[in-house]
Amino acid sequence: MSASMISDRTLLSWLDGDPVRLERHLTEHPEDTDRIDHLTEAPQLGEQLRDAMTMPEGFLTRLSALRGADQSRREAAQVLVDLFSTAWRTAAVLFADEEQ
Amino acid sequence: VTGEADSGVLVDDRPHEAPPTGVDLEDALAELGPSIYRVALSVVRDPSLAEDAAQETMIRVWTNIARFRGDSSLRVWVLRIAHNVSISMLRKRRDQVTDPHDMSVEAPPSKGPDRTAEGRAMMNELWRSLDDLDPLSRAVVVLREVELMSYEDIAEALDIPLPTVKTRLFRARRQLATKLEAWR
Repeated sequence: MSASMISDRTLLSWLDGDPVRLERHLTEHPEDTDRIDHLTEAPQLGEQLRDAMTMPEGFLTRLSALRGADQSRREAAQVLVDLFSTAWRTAAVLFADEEQ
Repeated sequence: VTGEADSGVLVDDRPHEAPPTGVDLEDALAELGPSIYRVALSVVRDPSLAEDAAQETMIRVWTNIARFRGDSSLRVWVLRIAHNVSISMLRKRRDQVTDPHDMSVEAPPSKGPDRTAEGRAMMNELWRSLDDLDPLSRAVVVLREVELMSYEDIAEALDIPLPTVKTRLFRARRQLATKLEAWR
């Protein structure tokens, strides 16, 4: 698919001043995406952002520990639920037998 | 029926592929940890709040993995949860803070190779420039430039239309490039 007849300058002016119009244009002419992508390319940006967003020390270790703690919490909660529901479940079985 | 639960997790009652096994999930989450943190940081801008958001994301993923529909990649699904959790935490933080200056945060300390003073100053400038973008634009630029995701995956992860992803990205790039040029 070939690009539309809209000039680079117009596309950039829409980008800066009328993004809604540019969105409409890209909906009708998705083939122009590559052109604007190229016009706004910032080759170092990804690397710079990655450097600026480094993880705190020990982050992955803490996440891993969190998984273990979360599992223990769930297991403890399940034990409590089982413990407190035993009497009800026993009664339900007994009464069900009596009704029969 | 498809909807979005309060947890920010897509749920539906259509049949779906079996969720990944526990071992696969562990591996996947270890691999996704840094991406989750960066998405959170892009939204909340505070390293300690970003870590809280990342932890909350992990818990929601473990809790809701059975609801994973399998019609997007696990990565997109997880990052969508990370984004929703981060937005929610940011709103809570804004409600709690009365002085806007309390919201501004320093750039996180860089752990990269030893930097020159100029390199550190440039990093701080980039961090400040990110402040001028709205949270959605920051998330778009991070998902594209750092996580190298496709426009389609970004649209799905952030739940916004495809043309919006593009215009947010291109505007953010221009804004950041202009700021960094001016600084140089």
